[in-house]
Amino acid sequence: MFTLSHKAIAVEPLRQSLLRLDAGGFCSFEGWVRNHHLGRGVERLEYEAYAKLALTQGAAVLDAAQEQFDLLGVRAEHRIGELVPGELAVWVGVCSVHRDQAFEACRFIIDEIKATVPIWKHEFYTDRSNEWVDPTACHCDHRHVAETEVQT
Amino acid sequence: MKSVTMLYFAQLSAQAGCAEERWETDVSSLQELFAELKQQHTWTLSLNKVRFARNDAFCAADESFDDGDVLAIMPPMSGG
Repeated sequence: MFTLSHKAIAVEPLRQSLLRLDAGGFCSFEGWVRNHHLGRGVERLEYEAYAKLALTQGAAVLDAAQEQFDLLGVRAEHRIGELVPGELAVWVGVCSVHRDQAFEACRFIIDEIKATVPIWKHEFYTDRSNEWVDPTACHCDHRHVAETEVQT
Repeated sequence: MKSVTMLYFAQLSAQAGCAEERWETDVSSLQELFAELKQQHTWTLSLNKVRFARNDAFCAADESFDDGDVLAIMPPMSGG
């Protein structure tokens, strides 16, 4: 089950929901709000979601993981609204017969959530500026091929 | 002429000054609609950066749409 929460994520009930006697491995991932981004201090952030589509896409990611890694149980919850550094932004938990599937599935799920679930992060910095985070933007200082003159 | 409900998110919503609006158009595909709205709202993101949804389901840029549809334009996702 994939859920969105306006309140602080309660980890223990999520973990409890995955307890099974036939599971030999449990793995979880917690995404935390950090106090810096690309050299700027982060004071707070806001997560916005396209809720209807986020819930269906989040569920699709978990279904895909369950099938691909033969999981016994899977849960994920993403926070929306205003958060400050130190708070939990996303929690992923999986259980499986053996540990390998649990480790791999956890990584798969968080990567897929970040790339495909319609949720957006708006960061507010300590210098009073703010920005919508674009993970596809390149922050390197080199010129790209398309911007570089053709060398003959 | 088709009348649709547009949904915008994150920087697209901020630049448009609204998260939702009714829009009347003669174009037939979502990528044509994006070009029309990009000009209207002076969006800075290009077509290859955005994703579309039609009636709460992801769809391709070249998909057509019907009168009364709810269409979403989404910038790159940044959850997690």
